[in-house]
Amino acid sequence: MDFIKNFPFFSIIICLVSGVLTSVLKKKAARYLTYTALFVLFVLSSLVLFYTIQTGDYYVYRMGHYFAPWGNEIRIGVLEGIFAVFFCIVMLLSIVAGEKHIDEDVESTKINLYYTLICLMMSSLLALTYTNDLFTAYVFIEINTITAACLVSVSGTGRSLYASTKYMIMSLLGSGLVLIGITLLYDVTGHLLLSNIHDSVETIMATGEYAAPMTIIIALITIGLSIKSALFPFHSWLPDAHTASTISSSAILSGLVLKGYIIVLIKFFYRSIGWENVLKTGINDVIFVFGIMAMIVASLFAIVQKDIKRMVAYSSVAQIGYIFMGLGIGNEIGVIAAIFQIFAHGVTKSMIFISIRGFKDVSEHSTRFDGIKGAALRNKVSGVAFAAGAFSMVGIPFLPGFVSKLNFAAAAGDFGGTKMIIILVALAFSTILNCIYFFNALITLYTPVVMSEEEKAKRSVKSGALYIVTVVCFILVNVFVGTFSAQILDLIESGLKMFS
Amino acid sequence: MSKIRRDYENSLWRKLVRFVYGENDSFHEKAGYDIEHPETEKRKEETFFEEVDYTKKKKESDKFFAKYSAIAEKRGEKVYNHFYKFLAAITCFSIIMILLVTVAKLPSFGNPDNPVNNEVSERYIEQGLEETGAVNIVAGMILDYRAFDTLGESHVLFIACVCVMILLRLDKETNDPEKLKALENDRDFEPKNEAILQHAAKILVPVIILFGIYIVLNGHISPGGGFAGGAIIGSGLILYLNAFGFKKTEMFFTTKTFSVVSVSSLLFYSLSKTYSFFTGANDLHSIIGPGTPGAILSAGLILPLNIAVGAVVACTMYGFYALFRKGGI
Amino acid sequence: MEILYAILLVFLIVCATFACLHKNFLTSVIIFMSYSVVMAIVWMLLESPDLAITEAAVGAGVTSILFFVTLKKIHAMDQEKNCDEETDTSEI
Repeated sequence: MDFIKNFPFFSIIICLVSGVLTSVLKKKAARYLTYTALFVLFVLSSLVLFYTIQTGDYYVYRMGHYFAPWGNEIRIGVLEGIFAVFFCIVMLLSIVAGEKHIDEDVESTKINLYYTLICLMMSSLLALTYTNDLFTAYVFIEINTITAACLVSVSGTGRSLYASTKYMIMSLLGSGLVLIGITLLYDVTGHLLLSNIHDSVETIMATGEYAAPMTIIIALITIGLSIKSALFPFHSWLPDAHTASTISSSAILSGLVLKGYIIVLIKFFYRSIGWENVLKTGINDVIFVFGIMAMIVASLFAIVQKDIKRMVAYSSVAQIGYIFMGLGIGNEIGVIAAIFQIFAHGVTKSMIFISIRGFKDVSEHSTRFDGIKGAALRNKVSGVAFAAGAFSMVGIPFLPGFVSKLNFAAAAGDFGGTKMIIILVALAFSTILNCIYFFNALITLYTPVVMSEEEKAKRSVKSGALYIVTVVCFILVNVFVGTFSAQILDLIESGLKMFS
Repeated sequence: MSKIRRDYENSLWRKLVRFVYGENDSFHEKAGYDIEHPETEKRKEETFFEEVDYTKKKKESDKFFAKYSAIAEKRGEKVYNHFYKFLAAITCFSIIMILLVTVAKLPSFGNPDNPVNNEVSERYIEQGLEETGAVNIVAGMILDYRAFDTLGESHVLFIACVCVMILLRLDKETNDPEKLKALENDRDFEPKNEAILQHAAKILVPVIILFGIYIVLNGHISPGGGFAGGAIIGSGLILYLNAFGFKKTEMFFTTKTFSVVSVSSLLFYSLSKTYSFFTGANDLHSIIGPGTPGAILSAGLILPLNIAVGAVVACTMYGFYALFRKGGI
Repeated sequence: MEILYAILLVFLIVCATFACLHKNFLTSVIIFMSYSVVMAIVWMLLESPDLAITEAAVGAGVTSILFFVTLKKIHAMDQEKNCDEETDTSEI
C-alpha cells in the first residue's frame, strides 16, 4: 500500500494531538503550533487530492486490524480531497487574519484554549469529510457542535453568551433529531457503515417492509442536519452568533461549520440512501421549497439591518438557501452546482468577514453602518476585499459567486418544467436583493467623511503586514476559484461519481 | 374580606372570568404585577416634574419609562406566551405521535430475525473473545473494534471541559475583589463544616474510589470500563470536596494535576491508537497481542486504554464541579 | 416481570413529563434524578450492566450535583423561599 494513503488518518490525528497539547501550552507556543499543524494539514491534504486525481478512484482506509462492518474505516475520493484542502485553506487564513482580534476579545490566559477549540474543530471537520460510518460522523458532529458554540461565547460578553446559548439549544435539537434518526436506521437496517446501509435500504425499498419508518428516518436526519446548517426557518441563531463572536469565529462559523453538516447530508443522501430513493421519498422537494424561501426572505431581512456583520450573516442564510435549493432540484447538475456553491460561499463569505475586521479597526470597533462610514477609504485593502466579496455574491464574472449562479440556472434549464421557472425567478429576485444590500454597504463604506485631526488619529490604525498578506491571499483564492471554475466543476463531477 | 369571598375570588372559574375580561393574567398572577393605565401614570408624572430638581426628575422619569416599558413588554409577552405555549404543545404532541407511530412499525423487540442480528453482531459475540482477548464483549467492541469512535468520544469530554474552563475559570489577573476572595478559600462563602457529612465522607470516599478503580481495572473482564469507573471516581472526589473544602483537595489535586493527567492520558490514547491503526491498515505486525483471556494483564491495549479513559473522565467530572463551584480547579 | 417492566416504564414517562413541566427548578432536578435511577434499573433488566453503572454514576450522581451547584449560583434555590415569605406576609 502506498504510504500516501495514510495521510488522511494522520491529519485527523495531528489535529487531535495538537488540540490536546495547546491546552497546556503558553499563548504564543499554542498559536505557532496551531499554524504549523494547519499548514502541515494543508500539505498533506493537497498530496492526497493529487494522489486521488492521479489514480482516478477512491480508496478505503481501514482503521485498525478489522475490516469495515466490524471496525471503522475512512473513505477518500476526489471530492473528499477537495473538501479537505478547502477546509485547511479557509481555516488557516481566517485564523491568521483575525489574530489581533483574538488577542483583544479573548482573555489573555485563555487564548491557548481558543486554539484548542480551533484544532479540535478542524479534526472534526476532516473526520466528517472522510468518514464512512454514520456513528463516527455523529461523534464528530458532537465535537463540532460543542466547539462551534464555544467559539461564539469565547469573548465572554453578555451578548455572546446569549447568542451561544441560543445556538447551543438549536444545535442540540438538531443533534437529537440526527441521533434518533441514526438509532432508528440501525434498528431497521442493522448497519452503521454507509455503504452497507445502502444495500439494506435497497432491499427495504424493494420489499416495502419498513418503508414508513424509512421515510421518517430520512426526514429526521435531514431536518436535524438542516437545523444545524441554518436552513431558513431554523436560522434564528445565526445572525446573533455571527454578530456577537470575534471575527475569526464568524468567518469559520459561516465558511466552514455550516458546510460540514451539509457534507454529511450529501454523504447520507448519496452513499447510504441512494439518490434515486431520496427522489422517491420527495424529501428533496421539501428542501427545495425551504431553500427558495431562504433565498428570498433572508435577503429581505438583510436589507433592513443596521449592522454590517448582521447583514452579512443574513446573506449567509440566503446563500445556504442556494445550496439546499441546488440539492432539492433533483438532478446531478443541481448537486454539482450546490457543491460548487459550498466552496464559493465558503471562500467568499470568510473573506467578507475578514475584511470587516479591517473596517472595525479603523472605526473604533464599530460595525454599525453609521460607525463604519468611509472605512474603506481609511483601510484600502479591506475595502478591495469587501468589494470583491460583494461582487462575487452579486454575481460578477471571474468571481466564484457568478459561476455558482450560472450553474444553478443551467441545472434549472436541464430540469425544465415549473421548477425551472421558480428557480429562475427566485435567482433573479435574490440577485436584485443581493445588489441592493451589498451596494448599499459599499456606498456607505466608500462615502468620504470629514473628520477632525483628533478623530483621524484615532481612526487611522494600521492593520499589520500579516493581515494584508492574508487578505491578498483570500482575494487570490477567490479569483482562482472563479477563474478555474471549469476544472473544479470537472473534479466535482468525477468526485461525485466516486462518492456514491 | 370574608373567607368565602376570598375563596370565590381565588376559584378557577373566577380566574377564568377575569382572564376572559382581560383583567388579569392567571398565568402571571404569582408575579404580582397589575397593569396600570399608562395615561394616569403619565399625568401623575407631569405634575411631578414641575416641583423637583433635575437629577431627581431624571431618576423619576427613568423609573417611569422603565415601568411603562415593563408594562408594555409584559402585555406583549402575555400574548406571545400564550401563542408560544400553544404552538410548543402542538409541536411536541405531533412529534411524539409521529415517533410513536414509527416505533410501532419497527422490528419487534428481541426477535432473533431482526435486521440488527446480522453478521456484524455475530462476529462480535462469537469471535470477540478470541480476537480481542476481552471477556467483556462491550469493552472489546468499543476499545478495539471501534476504537476510533471512542477516541472521538473521549475528546468530546475533553472539549466540554475546555469550554467550561473558557466560560467559568477565574484567573489571577481578575480585578474583582469578591472573585479574588472566592479564589482564596471557598469556606469563606460556605462555612459549613458539617460533622455528619464529614464522618460519612470519611467512611464512604475510600470505598467509592476503590470501587471506581476496581471497575476501571476490570473493564475488560467484568461489566464497566473506563467511563463508568471514571465517573464513580469523579463522584467520590466530588463528595470529598463537598465535605472538606478546597484546601484539603488542593493538597493532592490542583490545576497542574488536572492538566498533566488528562493531557497525558489523551496523548497516550491517541498515540497508542495511532500505532495500532497504522499497523492494522498497512498489514504490519503489531507487537500487541490479545494475551490470555480472563487474566488481569490481557486483552492488549484495552486495559491501558481503560485506565486512560478513566483518568480523563474522573478529571473531567471533578473539573466540572470545581469550575462550577469556585471557578478554578 | 412484565408488570415490573410496565410500572418502571410508566414511572419513567411520568418522571420525564413532570421534570419538564414543573415550575420549581429544584424539584425538576430531583425528579430528573429519580428518572435516572429508574433508568439504571431498566438498563439492568435489559441486561446491560455497563450502562446501568454509568447511568447511575453520571445521570443520578454527577449531573444532578452540577445542576444543584448551578441553581445555587443563580440563586434559584433561595428565590423560592423569598417568594413564599412574601406571599405569607401579604396574606397576613
